[in-house]
Amino acid sequence: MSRAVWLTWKMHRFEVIAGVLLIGLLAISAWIMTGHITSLGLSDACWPRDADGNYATNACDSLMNDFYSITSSEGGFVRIGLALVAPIVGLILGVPIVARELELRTTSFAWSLQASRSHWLASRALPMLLVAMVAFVVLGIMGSMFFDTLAVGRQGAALTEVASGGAALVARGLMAVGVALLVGALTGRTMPAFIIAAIVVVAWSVMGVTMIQAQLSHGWAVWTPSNDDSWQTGQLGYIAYVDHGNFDTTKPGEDGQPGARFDFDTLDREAIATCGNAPDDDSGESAEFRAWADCADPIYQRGNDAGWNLTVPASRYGDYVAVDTLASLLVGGLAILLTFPVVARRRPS
Amino acid sequence: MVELPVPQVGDPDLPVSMPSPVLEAIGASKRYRRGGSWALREVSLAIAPGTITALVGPNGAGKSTLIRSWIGFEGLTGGSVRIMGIDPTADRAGAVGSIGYVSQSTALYRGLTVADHLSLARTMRHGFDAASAELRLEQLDIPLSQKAGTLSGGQAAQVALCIALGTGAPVLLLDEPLASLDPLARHDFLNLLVAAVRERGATALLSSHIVSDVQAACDQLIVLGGGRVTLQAPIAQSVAEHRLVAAGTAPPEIIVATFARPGGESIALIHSSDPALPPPTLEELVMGYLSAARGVTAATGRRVA
Repeated sequence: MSRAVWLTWKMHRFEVIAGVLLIGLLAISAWIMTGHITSLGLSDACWPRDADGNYATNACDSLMNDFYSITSSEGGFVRIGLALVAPIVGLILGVPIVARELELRTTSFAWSLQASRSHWLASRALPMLLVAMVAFVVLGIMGSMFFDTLAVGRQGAALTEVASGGAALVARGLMAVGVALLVGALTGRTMPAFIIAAIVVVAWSVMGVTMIQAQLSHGWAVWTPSNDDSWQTGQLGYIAYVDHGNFDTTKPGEDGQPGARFDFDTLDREAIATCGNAPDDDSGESAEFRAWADCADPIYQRGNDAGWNLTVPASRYGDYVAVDTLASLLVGGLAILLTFPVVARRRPS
Repeated sequence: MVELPVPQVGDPDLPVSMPSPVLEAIGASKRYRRGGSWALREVSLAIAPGTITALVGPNGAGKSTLIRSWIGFEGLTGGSVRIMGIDPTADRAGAVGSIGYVSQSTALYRGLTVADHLSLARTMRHGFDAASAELRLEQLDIPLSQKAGTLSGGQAAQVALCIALGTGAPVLLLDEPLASLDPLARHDFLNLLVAAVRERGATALLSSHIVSDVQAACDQLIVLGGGRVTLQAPIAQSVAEHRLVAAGTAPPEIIVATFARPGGESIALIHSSDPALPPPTLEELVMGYLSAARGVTAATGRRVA
């Protein structure tokens, strides 16, 4: 077994080194950024802000300036890296496992020696999955630490950053490995496999995950008075609910379009839908457009003066992460399992 | 075209004393696309154990398809193949375990050393004899520490053959391993093959279109043309049972084919053992049967190089 692992390492050392380097650099960067932000000494004592938007003390104002300076520059790059690097490394590690062997015709050599192609695939894929998992776990821990420090400054991860740390990052990376493995086995060509697998992973990460999150949010959203700023104290946070692309602010009052009576924001911990006025006619609303229908709800009427926000409590954030993690593992695991029959039926080049 | 009788599995005319064939094809047919041309058309043959058989034919004759079907790399459109009695479509693992295979392109892992390839073979094939493979490679002056990517074509083929021999498989399938080798490398390859096969009593099938080389190494001949077997017989017997005459001088029923020699002289290959007539060389014999296959080819519309 150790010999097989060693040979797999020799076959894939360039992509393993590239992947580990990428992840290592990003993990170190996240660790350094975490240290910088932690060293600011920003604490909950700086919250809440007063009516003019000032922090609790002048020192807090200065600290927050430093905080924003870090998070908008180097911290921003780390944030982008945490969202992208794990899937990219997953693709780099996963694509060549089968695709390159088919492309370079070494499958004729290997499959004529190994009686079981399932064993062959397992002996190639498992070491790579193991390397990927260890690398992703390290990055996931660093990502979580980084976002934990951002939360001190009330800048937690957005829903689009669910997979930028922790278990969801590991799952998203492993999902990319699985998809890349399957697409590589199907195409038998490295570069086309990389491109197709990247499209699939991006489609899943953007469209698939967004759809799942929207469904979850529909179930988890609650109405909260818009003047309730308790989230600033850390007791209640609001996170995004549905894609604001469903709303059209240019057509106020038009049937089927909620228009200006709603205020939308996809940033986490903020309301995504605010009913400022009672809707004049909701008869044409689609059944799935919950925000509109809920605005006609008596609860909205009660809060007509103050306005109400349709929000998901921040305490649900962990549930989003859990669902994202499980869904990504399911997709990746399914892709890996499907690779076995594909390889079994595959004709070597 | 006149065809020599090809042994058929279950054929009552098959000699009773013939041992169980190691490699069999029973009406094997292969078409890659529906409506496309046939790579193999109802090929039936049987190869006895302990023989070294040359599978000869032009490019596109179906040699590689036939060999790859035995190892389970190609599914058949019709008929079946067996190796040591195993149908590779039903038991590919069993078939692969019976075979040592050298592919046409001899693709090795460029980044791995020769020693790594032996280690790889040990992890993939139970009972792989790395020591004997190392010994053969040392005799061939191929350094174990050399990376496969820096080997010459001949050396790569030798490494692949040593690994195939190291499997200890009772059957060796060699798919045009000589195609890209220079004469010296071909000579070394065939010497190694013959010595190892004779020593172990294995059975080898060597596809090639270099007739002069297979003559020295092989004792059986199968000519494949247009996806069909046009000749299967021992080489010595095949040569002894044919003669060459000037074109137009022999009765049509004994003519295999008429073809032109390089000088332009038109000659006919005929079924005959007449000592007064010159026997063909193996190359002329094969040329005659390939020319005959072109007749088949023309009828089926299949292009032959």
